[in-house]
Amino acid sequence: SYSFCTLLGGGAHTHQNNKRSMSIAAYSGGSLLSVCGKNCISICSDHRLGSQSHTIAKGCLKFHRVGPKVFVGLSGLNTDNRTLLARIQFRMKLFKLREERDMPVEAVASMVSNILYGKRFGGYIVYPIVCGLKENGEPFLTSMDGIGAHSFTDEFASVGTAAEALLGAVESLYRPDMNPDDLFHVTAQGMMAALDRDTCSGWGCTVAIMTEEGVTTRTVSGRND
Amino acid sequence: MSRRYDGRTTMFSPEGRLFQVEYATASIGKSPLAIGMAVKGGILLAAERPTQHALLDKEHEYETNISREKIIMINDHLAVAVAGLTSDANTLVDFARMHSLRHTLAYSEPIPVESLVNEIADVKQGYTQVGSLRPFGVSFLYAGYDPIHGLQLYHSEPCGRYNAWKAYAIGNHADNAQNMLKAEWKENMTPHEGMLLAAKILAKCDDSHASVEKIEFALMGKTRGSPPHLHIHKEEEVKVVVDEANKIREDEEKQKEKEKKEKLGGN
Repeated sequence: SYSFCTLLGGGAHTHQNNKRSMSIAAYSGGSLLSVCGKNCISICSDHRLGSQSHTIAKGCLKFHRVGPKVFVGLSGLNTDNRTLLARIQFRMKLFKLREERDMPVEAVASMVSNILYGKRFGGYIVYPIVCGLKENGEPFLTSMDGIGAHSFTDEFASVGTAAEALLGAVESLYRPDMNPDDLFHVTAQGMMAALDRDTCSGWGCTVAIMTEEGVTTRTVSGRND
Repeated sequence: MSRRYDGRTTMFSPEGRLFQVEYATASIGKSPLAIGMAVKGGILLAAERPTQHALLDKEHEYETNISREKIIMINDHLAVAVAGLTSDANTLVDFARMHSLRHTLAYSEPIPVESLVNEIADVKQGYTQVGSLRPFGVSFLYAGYDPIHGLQLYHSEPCGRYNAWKAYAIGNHADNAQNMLKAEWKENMTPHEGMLLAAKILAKCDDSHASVEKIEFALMGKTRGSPPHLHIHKEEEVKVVVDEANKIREDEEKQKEKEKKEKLGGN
């Protein structure tokens, strides 16, 4: 058994060896949900950032609007999320400068998948969702595993520690072709229901709805445990 | 003179000259003029475009704020105007873009302007000393902003030398243009005044009237509280400046004619 001191968010924290070893994918905690609507798409993330059982931060958003019509949500190990996000932003900026156009959401998904597969053997512990609106205004959604296997869907997708619970919750709430208001309710309620079933995610959630006009972001409070 | 010593870029001549570098500079001297100047709230870049061919497909020319023919964005806070071989310039521009993005990836900050200029200059220098490669036949004017030194204008040469300037010209008739800038550039000109001056200089050095097809403008602007922003002017905006510059020139010429007649009439 071992112990070490780490500086986390400005404070000192001594790590104790837990009796039950947690999967590295669940170390930081956190979950994401994305649902398709009619010419709109939602993405929702919880707020918890943890170090196994210890909660470090209660306001950690896991999705990022990397382009005018593109969201990238990253769940998994927090340090890998940050590194991958920096790489994604690098590549998207280079694309915009060279191609003189914004990177379409399908291209972003393909690129993220390729970056992940580039580290096929010993790589990023990141489970991303790439979603957004296509050129024609229709929603685009794909989730991936840690080595970039993406599966497109026109319904909903979830990643993170509460992924299975999210799928179950949204399965009963989802219906096709929702307008932005209904989309918000389905997304928020699905997430709130699933968060209570997961120890590694929580502290409320933030939902962003993207339509042709723009993005609306709302925060939902929940159980702070 | 001593042509045996200009075949290899890495060799000095007996007089201590690097002929390939001088030939590169001569090549740039044949390329259309580009001017940079510090104005109030930004750095202005103005460039003379090469003669346009009637068959060029220009349908998509003004769609972006990232590049036109001679003025190119490196990053949100940095842009260049090019004089010299376009293909050489494109290579260096791509390198500059990659370098600035790598800096951001490593340090989570936009690359300081001098840092980027220094790096490009070092690349250019490498091609004058290593590997029997010819130098890049390109001079750049860099317009950029960083929180360290604010708005800055630099130029770099094929030999790898660079300087910071308040106003500078590269390309064809650069000496004439530089003299005109020395005489007429003033601290804290507005961007519009700067564009009028640039249009005047470009027209005079080209010995013609300013025209929309021949001029590009861009302003790397910075106002308090918002991030630096490159604005590459659209045709309509260039036309406004060009029309005004031509009118001013016409008025000046009419005035001169009038004074000339009066003088002759007096005699």
